[in-house]
Amino acid sequence: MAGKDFRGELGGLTREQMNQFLAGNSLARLATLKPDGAPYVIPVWYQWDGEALWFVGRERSAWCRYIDNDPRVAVVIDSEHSDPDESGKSVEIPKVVMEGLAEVVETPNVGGQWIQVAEEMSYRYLGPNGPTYLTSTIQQPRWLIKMTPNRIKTWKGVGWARKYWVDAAGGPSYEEAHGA
Amino acid sequence: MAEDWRGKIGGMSEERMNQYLAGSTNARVAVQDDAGRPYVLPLWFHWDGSAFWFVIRERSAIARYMKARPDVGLVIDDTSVSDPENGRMFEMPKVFAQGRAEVIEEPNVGGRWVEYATKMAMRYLGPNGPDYIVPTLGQPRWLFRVTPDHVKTWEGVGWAKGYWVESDKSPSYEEVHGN
Repeated sequence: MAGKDFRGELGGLTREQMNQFLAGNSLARLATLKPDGAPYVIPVWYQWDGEALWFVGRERSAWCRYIDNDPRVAVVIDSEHSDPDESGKSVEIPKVVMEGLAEVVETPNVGGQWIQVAEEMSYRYLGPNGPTYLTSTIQQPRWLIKMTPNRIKTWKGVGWARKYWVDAAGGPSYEEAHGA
Repeated sequence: MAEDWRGKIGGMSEERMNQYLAGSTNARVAVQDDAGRPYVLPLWFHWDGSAFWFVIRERSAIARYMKARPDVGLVIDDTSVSDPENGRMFEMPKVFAQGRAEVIEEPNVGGRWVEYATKMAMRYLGPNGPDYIVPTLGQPRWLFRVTPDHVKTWEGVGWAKGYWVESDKSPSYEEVHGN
């Protein structure tokens, strides 16, 4: 039956699977709070060093100002599937959510530590066009922002985590619906 | 040369935005949690031309949060996705919206949400849509509508002119963007 194939494996990611997924080229979607408290979310390049996410923002980017004003952020990094590992196996629909406080490591500047982070990112995201893109904008001032998560949640597969299933609602059981 | 990989740079017409939103990209939806912190998740959406619709499982925290604090920020974006109607690609399309969420239906079985969920399952899962949605139709869902009061669109690999800081040391915006 089609069911099991398209679902992939359900559950959380192992730390290794998570690190491997985060080394791929999915974007982060970073949620910040505007000064009036309304949430604001943008796609952004990230670099994961195993403990923290790093972001490089253009001087005039609103989200950097919002973080400077209120450091509370949430990030989701998700994809249709991870890059295959050495054995050719990929994870279906990996999702990583991180919540925590962001720290402004560098205010907008030219020539700071952000360049190294941006270089690493540009290769990961753009491949051969990375250096072309970065060289032409390297004199543009950037913020360097670091977010250390205090909470990480991961999922994989097309299906419901068990706790979301309402058993008394009528209809098939969790196991029936998930082909287990 | 540069234009090839950059695509067309600029905002989308309403028609182009509607075409893009009919694709199968998730919305990444940000709300505030019980403590007022940001909370963000990928969600399926349906865009009807003036509002975003979301069908959410009864026990999902995001539904509770959205009901308690209806301010929502969302983004729908891709690196590169095909644009079959025009025989080309959307390069780095982005649609940002800020708006207010309304509870159209509290968690229920058999409500109007079924129509939206069925449409979305087909759009996102194609032929696997019914395999996913039919066995879960007995599960109670919320139906939310988010009407944006602010929408911004962008496509192409490049900077909006407003972000470019002109200085003696830096090449000009036009030099960098190849026009």
